[in-house]
Amino acid sequence: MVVPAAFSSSRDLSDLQELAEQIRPVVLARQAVLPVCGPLEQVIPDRGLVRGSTIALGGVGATSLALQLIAAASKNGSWIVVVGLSDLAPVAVLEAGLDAGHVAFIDPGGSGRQVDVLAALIGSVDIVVLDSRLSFRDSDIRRLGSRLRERGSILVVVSPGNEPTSQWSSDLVFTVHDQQWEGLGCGHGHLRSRRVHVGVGGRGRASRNMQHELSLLATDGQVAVAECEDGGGTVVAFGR
Amino acid sequence: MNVRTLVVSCPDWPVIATAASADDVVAVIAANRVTATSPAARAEGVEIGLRRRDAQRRCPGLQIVDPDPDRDARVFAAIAALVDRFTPRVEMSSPGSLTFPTIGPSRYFGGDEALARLVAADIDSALGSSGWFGAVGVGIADGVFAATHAAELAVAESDHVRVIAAGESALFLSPFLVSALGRPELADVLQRLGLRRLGEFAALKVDDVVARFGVDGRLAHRLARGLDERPPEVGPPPRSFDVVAMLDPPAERVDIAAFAARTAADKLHEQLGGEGLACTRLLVVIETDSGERLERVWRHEGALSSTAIVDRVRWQLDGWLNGPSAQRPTGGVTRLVLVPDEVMPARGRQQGFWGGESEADERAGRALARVQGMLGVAAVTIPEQRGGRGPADVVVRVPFVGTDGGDNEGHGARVSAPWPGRVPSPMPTLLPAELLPIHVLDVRGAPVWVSGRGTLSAEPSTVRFDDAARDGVSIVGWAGPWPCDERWWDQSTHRRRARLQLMLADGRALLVQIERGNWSVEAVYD
Repeated sequence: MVVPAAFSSSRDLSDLQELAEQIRPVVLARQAVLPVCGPLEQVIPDRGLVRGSTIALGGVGATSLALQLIAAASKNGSWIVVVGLSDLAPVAVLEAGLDAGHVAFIDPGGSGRQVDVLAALIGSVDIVVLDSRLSFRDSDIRRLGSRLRERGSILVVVSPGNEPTSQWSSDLVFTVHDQQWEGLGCGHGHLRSRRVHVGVGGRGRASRNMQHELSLLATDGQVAVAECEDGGGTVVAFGR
Repeated sequence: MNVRTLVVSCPDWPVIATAASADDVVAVIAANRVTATSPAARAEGVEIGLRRRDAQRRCPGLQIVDPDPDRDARVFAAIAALVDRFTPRVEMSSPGSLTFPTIGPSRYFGGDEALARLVAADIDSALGSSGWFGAVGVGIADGVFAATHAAELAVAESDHVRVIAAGESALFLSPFLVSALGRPELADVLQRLGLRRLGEFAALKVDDVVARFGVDGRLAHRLARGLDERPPEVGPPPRSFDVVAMLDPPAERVDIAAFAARTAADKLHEQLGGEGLACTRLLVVIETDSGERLERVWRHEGALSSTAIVDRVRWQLDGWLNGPSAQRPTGGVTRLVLVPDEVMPARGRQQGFWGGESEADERAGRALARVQGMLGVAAVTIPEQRGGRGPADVVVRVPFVGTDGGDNEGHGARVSAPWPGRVPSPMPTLLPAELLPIHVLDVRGAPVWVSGRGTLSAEPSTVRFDDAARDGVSIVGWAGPWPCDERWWDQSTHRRRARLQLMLADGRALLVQIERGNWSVEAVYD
């Protein structure tokens, strides 16, 4: 390849490579992804939430992690609808950085119509957060799963305090354990941040299970910063 | 400014409505007192206000009838229909009495006097067929009060008409007794003050009357001066925009009924558009051939377009026809009514260019409205910032009413007050619907409590949950107590409590509170 004289120096070449990286189509046909913030990109093999996928979260701290996971997409204008989870505190939802104008909560209660509700939402909103305590028949799950892949919505199934659900065939599974809070002493201070160990598994590229240590930190109620230490010991901070 | 008013008065109406003839000796008795009599009964000495036994003593052949306001009103509708030919603005105050402003009809029929005669003659000839000649009086004056008294006087006169010239109502009323005001307590006081006639009461200064008798006294004073308490309603009657679609044969499927709804929705939209109105709240009524009925109100922040109306009808039908079998209707849909419940001037609608409502918002809004059709309006909520100290107060869930870009921006951006004593950030993520009772114990196993001055009795060491028989979970970190005495000025909502943040040995973190000596879990940091 003939390299023009002006670009012959290695510095110019690296500039060009950087430019090429920037103008490369971000969304390939294979992976249309919604963004996640900073270090969670390091944790997720596809570096974002793949449209049409199912994500399961479980363990003590799963609720917070789920909110952190979808916050960046919400800031980007994606609609998020929470089905079930009637005890989810709306203040925590906004504090995690979700856009108040693009969030709704649905409480199916004892109506038994959760299948119809999900069918109406899939394809119309970008992310559906589902309570794992709502029961579905296996045939409904298969039907909703194929509808999900076809319409490109993302289903996030949360099991606070329990193991991640295995009923939904999840593409990505987060298991939170060993939650350790910081900032609280005996009679002084208050809860500020926490370190959690997150096991990431699933199908495809996520199938080799990885362990990560994340630090979830919320200051002044809005900004969330986390550090991620995987095997190589990289530490990345993330913010809004 | 008083409105010239015509009053038709028929004091014997409760008797006339019983279909008795004028020669019968009849009295209507309610609560043991005579409330209306026929002329023949009056001739026998039966007076209004007499007790039943006294009336029967004066006239042994007296027929006694129970009062029936429904019957009175039903028969009087025929009389009101007669007057409808003179003006469409008829106000019915009670059966036997009706009112309308003369401003238009008077000029058309050749003056107040001529109008009154025409009305009186018309009603008289209608009543005359059952022998009740001269039972009705027509009065015209400035205002309803004066006109009513004129009409009552007119019953006794030969041509049954009494017209009080413009501006002379006060003069006409001045010889009446103060009891004519219909306020017995006020009349009693006035009489004891030596004011026996309306004219004397009217001569008092307004501010003196207000100072002594308040608002009601002022209204009575206005009446005595020949003014109106309130002018009669003179605007044209509001138009009804209801659209009814009949389905024949009955529709068994949603799509067939929705097709009929489309025509009805287009018609409604056209009607409203013609008046420059937009519908923001719509009542959809669906009836089946076996008589079941489902009503639901649909709200929309912007205006409901005709497609949006059809969508909502379809969702309502879908929720009903394909819902749980216990609530499913047994017959086909035969009738569909669209009632615009709330209308406002149409401002037009524009899609946002930067921000505002996007296509995605509209899609999400449609999906959420559809879910509301299945589960009810209250089942779909959105967060709204309110401000407060506890995690449940800062942001609350409010029912979703529609996506409107401009409005939704306000939900998150509202500035909140500082709220001293607020639970510090980060906020807990789970709020149990019911407070979970617990026991907070110190090292020796004795209960921990918070004193009135907001200090802990001892350092908390373990938490015991009611559901578990275990010894409890030990506390590895804690902060507090954070006392919180809210709304002490209102007894019904007053809450006095103290909060503790607890970190447990098993990794959980809780926000617990003590209220009236009982500990409970308020929220969980998950």
